[in-house]
Amino acid sequence: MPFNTELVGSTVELLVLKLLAERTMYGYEIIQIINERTEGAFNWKEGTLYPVLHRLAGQGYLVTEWRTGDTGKKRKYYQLTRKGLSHAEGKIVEWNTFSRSVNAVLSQPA
Amino acid sequence: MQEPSFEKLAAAAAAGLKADREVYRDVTQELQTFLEDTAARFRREGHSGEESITLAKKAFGSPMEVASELLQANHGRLRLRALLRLGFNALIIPLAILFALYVSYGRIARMQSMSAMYIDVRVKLPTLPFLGTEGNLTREHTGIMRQLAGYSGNAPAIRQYWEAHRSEPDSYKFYAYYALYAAVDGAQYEWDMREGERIEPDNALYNVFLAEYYLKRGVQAKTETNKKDDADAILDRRAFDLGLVELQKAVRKPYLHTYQMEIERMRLNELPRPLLTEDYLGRIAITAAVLFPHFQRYRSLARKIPASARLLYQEGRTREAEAVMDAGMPYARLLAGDANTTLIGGLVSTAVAAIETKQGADVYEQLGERTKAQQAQELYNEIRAFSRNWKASGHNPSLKSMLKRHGSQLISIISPVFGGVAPTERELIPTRMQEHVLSEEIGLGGLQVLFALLLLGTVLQGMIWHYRLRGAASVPLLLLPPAQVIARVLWWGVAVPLLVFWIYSRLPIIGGREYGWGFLWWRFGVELLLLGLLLLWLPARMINRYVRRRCDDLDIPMPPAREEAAVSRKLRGAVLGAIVLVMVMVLLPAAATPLFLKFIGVIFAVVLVVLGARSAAAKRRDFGLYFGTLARSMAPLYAFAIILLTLTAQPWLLYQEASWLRRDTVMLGEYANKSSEPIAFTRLESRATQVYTQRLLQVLDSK
Repeated sequence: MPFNTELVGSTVELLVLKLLAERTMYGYEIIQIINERTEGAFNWKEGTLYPVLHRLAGQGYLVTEWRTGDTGKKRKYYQLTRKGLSHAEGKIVEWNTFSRSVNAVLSQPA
Repeated sequence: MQEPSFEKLAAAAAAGLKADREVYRDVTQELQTFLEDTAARFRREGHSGEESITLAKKAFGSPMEVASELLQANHGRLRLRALLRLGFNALIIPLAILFALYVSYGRIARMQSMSAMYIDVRVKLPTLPFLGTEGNLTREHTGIMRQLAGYSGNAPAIRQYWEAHRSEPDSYKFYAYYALYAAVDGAQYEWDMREGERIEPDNALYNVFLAEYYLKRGVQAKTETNKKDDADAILDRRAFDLGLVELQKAVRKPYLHTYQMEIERMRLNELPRPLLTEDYLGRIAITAAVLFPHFQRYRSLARKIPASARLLYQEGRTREAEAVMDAGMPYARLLAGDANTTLIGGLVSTAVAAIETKQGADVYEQLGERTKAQQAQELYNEIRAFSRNWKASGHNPSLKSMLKRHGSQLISIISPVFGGVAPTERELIPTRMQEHVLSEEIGLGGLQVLFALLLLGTVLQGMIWHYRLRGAASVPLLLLPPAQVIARVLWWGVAVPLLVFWIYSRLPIIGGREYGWGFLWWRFGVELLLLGLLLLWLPARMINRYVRRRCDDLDIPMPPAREEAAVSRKLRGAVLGAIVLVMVMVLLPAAATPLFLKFIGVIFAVVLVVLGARSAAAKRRDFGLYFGTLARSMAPLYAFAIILLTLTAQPWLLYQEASWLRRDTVMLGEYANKSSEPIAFTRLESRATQVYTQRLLQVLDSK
């Protein structure tokens, strides 16, 4: 089922922060993991991911580094800064509170 | 392996970031890697290579949307970097203006110092690095320069110098030099000349001076006055007799030397090593400022000799009269022997010989010495023929034409007096090239001033647009050309045309440098004008194209070509007006227009450009972003162009000028042997004087 674009857009930053809180990743890897975990429900594209990554980097939540992987290919890796980590934690708490509240309303029979 | 279509797609998606080369490269590389990873996944899923590429591109989405998102995401970052660039430009621009003012001030100062080269050493040349002028002479340098300066009022200082150095072996030269300028006044003068005779007994100089001193008081020669009725007369018998004794003593001596030019060489050797034209001209000016009071005294004595002989004859003292007249030619020969440095000395010796032979022929006739009279007349005819030939050789049309075609302006002016003694075409190369380099320096200086005016104009225009578009001021920052673009425009728009001009102008035959500037000045003028126009048009065109492309990328409205042309016309009008004003200011004679007036002229020119810029800015506000960006993009270009020219072309031309001057063996160059080569105003004069004196002595010795 295709989701509303605005709904998806509002969660991109949160999901990116959550994944990068787990470990350092590069752009394609982030999309792959999202697609796997959501079983392809979100279907992110570059236009969805990269502007968010760049904005977060501009705000000082991420740092980037070009690294050569096992295959010999150079990739740009993103890593959360300390500021980014605390921002990610805050966002996750915010989302949990928000979703609990929404679910609490939705769980009541009509 | 990189897939070309991925490169294109990544480039299109990152197009909005092109203003910042570094960010652009970073993002395109990242997007490309992503596309390659996506294509690899499709391949793993069993799709063919081509299908994988197509699917990866499809999965990428619309590059336009990505571009817009990326631009928005990176806006802050780009703006910060653009502001840093602007800050850098803000530093570069005043630096460039300072450079331009520095170079143009130096140029004007150099031209003024060249035109004021009747200097004594008190004239202060500008001391500017790159311009390399010798600056103010130190006290140590001016010591000998001033103390031994050759003018009458300086005799006490010269004597003091001799007294301080009297124990040195060459001190007799300083005394002879002092004798030239010593006040011709009474007993002290007689005593001084006797002292000179004691110091250097073989030098006839002191006896000649004493003879002239006494005979001036003792005799009136009818040839010295304009009145026809005046006759020769003895004014003071004692002085008359003393004068004749000194004359006879003088002509029995082996030589006459003033050592004037040796002292002059000593003075010039005190100066710092010459570097540029004004340094060399300064040396000529210093030499030219030396006075030759003795030449007038030589001629005075020359007239007294036949007058004295006539007076003795009238008194019936024929033997003594003959002996006095016989001293005439040896006297002329003594003078000719010392006239091997400056041509004027040779000409004075010739005049003296002409007086002695012409009047001598009449005196011998009166004395009944027919043979001597005939010999004197024949010699007079030969001297006249020698003078005529010398003059005619100097005006030889083919020689004049050769010097005009291949020489410098200075050499064309002075060469007629050198009696056909001329340099070869090969010898003319340095003096000719030095003039070419000077003209190129002036052209380049003018161009830098023009760039500075344009820089000010574009800065002001940029500021006006910034003020008028307060709200949207941040967008042009993203349009400003990055350093790579500026470097490319500087290379192709400024450096390459200059290099091409330099190579072209030095090419044999095509470049025309085998002809003097004065002969083909119009051609060189056209070349410099075309180069100047190209340097103004090409970089501006390149920047304009870049800004238009960027505006196109970011959907910023641009005026149609016709409207832009109208704005450009107004600006060009203002700039051309400014150029004319600056040219008039620069070309006005230095004496009539002091330096500060010239700078006022330049300020007026700036005002003209500002008015043009304001008028252009008043045009359609809709295109303000475009015009503002254009102006702000041009400013760093002009700034870097000025700095580039100041740091490369200007020093290179100065180096060339100094190098040609060093190689010049004809006009301005230094003497090859600083201690022995006879010095004159120029080396060519030195050469001509040697030839002249040699030929004169041959004529005088022929009878």
